[in-house]
Parts: sequence; structure tokens; C-alpha cells
Amino acid sequence: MNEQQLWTAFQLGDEEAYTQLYQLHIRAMYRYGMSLVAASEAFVLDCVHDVFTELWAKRTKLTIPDNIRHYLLKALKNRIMHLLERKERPAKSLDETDYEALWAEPNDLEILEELEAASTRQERLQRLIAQLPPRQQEALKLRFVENMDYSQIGEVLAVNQQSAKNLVFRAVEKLRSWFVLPILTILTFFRI
Amino acid sequence: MQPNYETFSAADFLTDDAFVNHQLRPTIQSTHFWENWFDQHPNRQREYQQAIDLVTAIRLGLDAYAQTQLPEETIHQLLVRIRETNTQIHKTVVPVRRVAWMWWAAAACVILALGIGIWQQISHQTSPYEQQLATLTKTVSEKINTTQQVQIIRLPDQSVISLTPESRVSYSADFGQQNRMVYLSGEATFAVTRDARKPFLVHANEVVTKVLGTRFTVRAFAKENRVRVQVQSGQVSVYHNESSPSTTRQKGVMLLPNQQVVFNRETAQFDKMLVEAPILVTSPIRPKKAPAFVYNDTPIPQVLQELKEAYGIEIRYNREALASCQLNSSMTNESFEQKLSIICATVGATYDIIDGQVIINGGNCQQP
Repeated sequence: MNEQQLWTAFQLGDEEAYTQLYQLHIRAMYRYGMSLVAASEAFVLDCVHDVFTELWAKRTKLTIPDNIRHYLLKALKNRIMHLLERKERPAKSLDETDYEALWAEPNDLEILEELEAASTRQERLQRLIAQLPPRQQEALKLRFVENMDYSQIGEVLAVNQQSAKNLVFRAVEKLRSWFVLPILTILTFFRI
Repeated sequence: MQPNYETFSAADFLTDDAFVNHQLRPTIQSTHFWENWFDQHPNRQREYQQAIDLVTAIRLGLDAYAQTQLPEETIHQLLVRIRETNTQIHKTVVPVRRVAWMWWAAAACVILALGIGIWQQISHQTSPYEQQLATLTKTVSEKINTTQQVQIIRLPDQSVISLTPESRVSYSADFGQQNRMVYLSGEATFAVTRDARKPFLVHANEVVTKVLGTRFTVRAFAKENRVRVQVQSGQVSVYHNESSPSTTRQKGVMLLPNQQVVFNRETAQFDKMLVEAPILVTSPIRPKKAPAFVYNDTPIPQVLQELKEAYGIEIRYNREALASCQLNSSMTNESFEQKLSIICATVGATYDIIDGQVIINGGNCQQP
């Protein structure tokens, strides 16, 4: 059975199909949820619980999504954001776009420090990606790990397709400029 | 519509779904398409290859994210919870037809929830761990080990916690910025990265353990009335959390390797002693190979000195009485206490362990 068939079976009340869908997507939902709110594992698991129980309750009224992973991650993010807004309303006056603008870009020295602290290529790359603004990181994760297309990423991030592409484009350009940094410093070092 | 790949930079390729999809999950059609394209555009090969390298680099950098682990046990427990909720929805929501009935159901639910809340308040006294968490203003990361095995947790400062089953630790979102504070309920071993400017503090029930960089174990289950701290290397101080570390009114206890302290929660007393089975310690200042403990006519004071350094345990004895005694023995595989017994038997002495130190009483040697 492919995923779409599983979905149809689940809508008809097949608990086995429902469980299989859960097993197929729980790990991706967990890692994506944890990347949004690393603070509390229990909170993320609660939100996953809410998403799945709501699916079950509304199963007869649902349509079949084109990409089930995308559908579930979007539902999870909505749930997380909904609960966070309710909990932290006074503290959260900045909306996400403002936050992006306030993100202090690391300077070359900080980047070099990050690179020096890492011992492997993987760790260096990981540290560089961690220096990007949160929404650029999120876009990279959705495109290159969760394998969503740009229109789906746009839906999750509540922007249009072109803006989603721009997020990745800016992230890639930034990363490329950082990759060449150590080479530059070695050059200047030899010139002196 | 196909975009104009002729003008694409390497970064442009990464914003193209067709290209990225092919990199992540190539199909027969996509392979065919890109091979064709590659042959027809030899002048774009540099950008194309760079784009592939970029995708590989990003995927490598995101690998830790992609590999985020979720224990099978947690997956299973969550599924059980979801199923339970679903059966409840099934029972209460499905037969609802009239709105009035629903209001009664809602009211019943509220009363039930209140009842459960009150019942939990009565039956469940909040533990020191919960009280401490409640005082934190920042968001908190909590790790709960619901598995059957020890779980490894890496903190932002690269310190490592080995968390025993049924135990939990929390730390604030700003961990490491001003200080390094961890809250523990249960048992865990800490391997702490050295940072003299930021002491590492473990709050466990009423006991606070403070270190700069070392390896030690704390056992503090809410249901047990003792808290135990054991040191494997380095130096830690342990104190009661009602007195701050600076006040002298209630002095804390200083622990060295192979020492432990047991805190009695009822009497609020510390009891310092050696761990049950002392292990050889490696000092970061003088890393040296463990001695073989093989002795031929070796003066006893030298043997005791070697023992003291190898285990990091203070040994007190009458230097004058034992100065001319010698030992002939091989004790490579004997435990610390067995070694002590052999030495004492040789010189006709006895030993006590008091306050984390060894005291050798009496003893002398007949001249050969």
C-alpha cells in the first residue's frame, strides 16, 4: 500500500493504517518540532499527540493531501505556534519577520572561531548552518532533509514560493562566502 | 515551464525543485533529463558541479538534524497515549447529536478535570525537583530517560551526562551564559568540561554539588531519603542548598576522587566516606601509567605513597614505626582494600577508614 492508500484506509477507520502513518512520520515530526522549540521535548510530543488525535477525530472530513509529510509537519507547526502564542502573548510582540531583521549577522571573526572549534568537516558545516538566521535554517531543513518543494515550504513558513526560494538562496550565498574565509586568511597570513 | 538554466548560478540551482529533487531522490526520468542537459551544456558544468557540492555540504551539515534520535520506547508510549485519547473521543463525541447534551458533557469534563487536579494535589506532594523548576523564569530543556538503558546527553558546553533509567535532568535555555546549572531527579554521572569562570552546579533534592571540571555521580531520587555524590576524578564541593556556598554556618563537604558523601535528608547530615570499590585515578596534572604494584624488598612508606597517588586517597600512618619495614608482594589484581589488608598483615597493623581517609594503626617490623 502506498501512503495515499494508507490515508484512505485510515479515513475509513482502519487503525492499522493510522498506526503505519504514525510510524512513517513520527521521527520527522519529532526532529522538526524539536528544531522549532528545542526547549521542551515533552511539549513537542504533546503537540504530536494533538495532531494525531485531531486527525482521528476529523478523519471523515479530511481530503487526501498530495504530500503527507508536508501536511503533518504543517499541522504540527500550526499546533506548536498556536499553543506558544497562547502561552507567551505578552512576551511575543515581535512577529517572525521582525525577528529576522533583528538577527545579528555574525562577523568574520566569529565565523572563524566557530570553524576553529570544529574538528571535522561535518562539524564545521553544522556550526556554519547554525549561524544562519532561524528561518533560513528552517527552509534548508525542509528542502534538503524533509524533501518538500518550494511551494510547500512557502505554506509552512507562511510566505509565497518565491520568498521561500529567496530564504534558501540567501542561506546558500552566505554559506559559500564562509567556506572561502579560511582560505582568505591563509592568503593574508602569507602575504605578511 | 522549464526555467532558463543557461543563466543559473550554483545557488540558483539550489532554488530549483527539479534539480534538488533529482539530487535527493533521482528517478529514471530525472537522471535521463539531467544527463542530457549536462551533455548539451558543457559551458555550465562548473556551476552544475558546484551546485552538487553545495547540496552535499548542506546535507552533511544537517546530518545531525536528520539523525535526531527518538527512542522506540518513546514512540511506542506516545502511540499508546494517542490511542487512549482516540477511544475517549470515540466514546464521548461520536454519539453527540443535541447541543444541550454536549454542554452537560463539557461541564462533566470540567468537573472531572478539577477532581483529577485536586486528587493529584493531595496524593502527589511536589518534589524538590519540581519546586526548583517552578522557580525558573527562562524556558527549560528537560530530558527524561524512560528507556531501560543509560542515556547519554550532551550539554551545550560539551559536558556529558549519563542519565540512569527513570531519571530526569533539566537545564535552562541560557545554560552556560552566566553559569552552568543543572537540576536532577534520579541518578546521573557527569563528565564536566573544565571552565573555571563558570562553575558547574548540580541541584539534586536538597543538595548542591559544585565543580569546575571533573567526573562524578549524583544519586537523588525523590522517593529515597538519602542523596549520594561520588567522585571519580577531580574535586567537587557538596553543600546543603539552604545555605549558600559562601556562608560558613553550614559547611559543605569537599570530595576528592574515590570519596563519596551521603546526605541524610531527614537529619540534614553529611557523611563522608570512601566509595565501596575505589578505582585507579588518572590525574590530569601528572598523567602517568598505573603502577604494577609489584614489590621486592620495597620500603613500606614507598608502597603507601604509590598507593596514595594511584587511588588519590590519603593514607595516614606512623612514619617512624614503619620506616624500616619492607614488602615482598605482587598485588596487581587486588582491590584497594585487599592491598591494604596485605600491607597491614605484613607489619602487624590494622586500618580504619575515617572521613574518607585511611588510618593505619600500630605496626612495626622485626629486623631480619
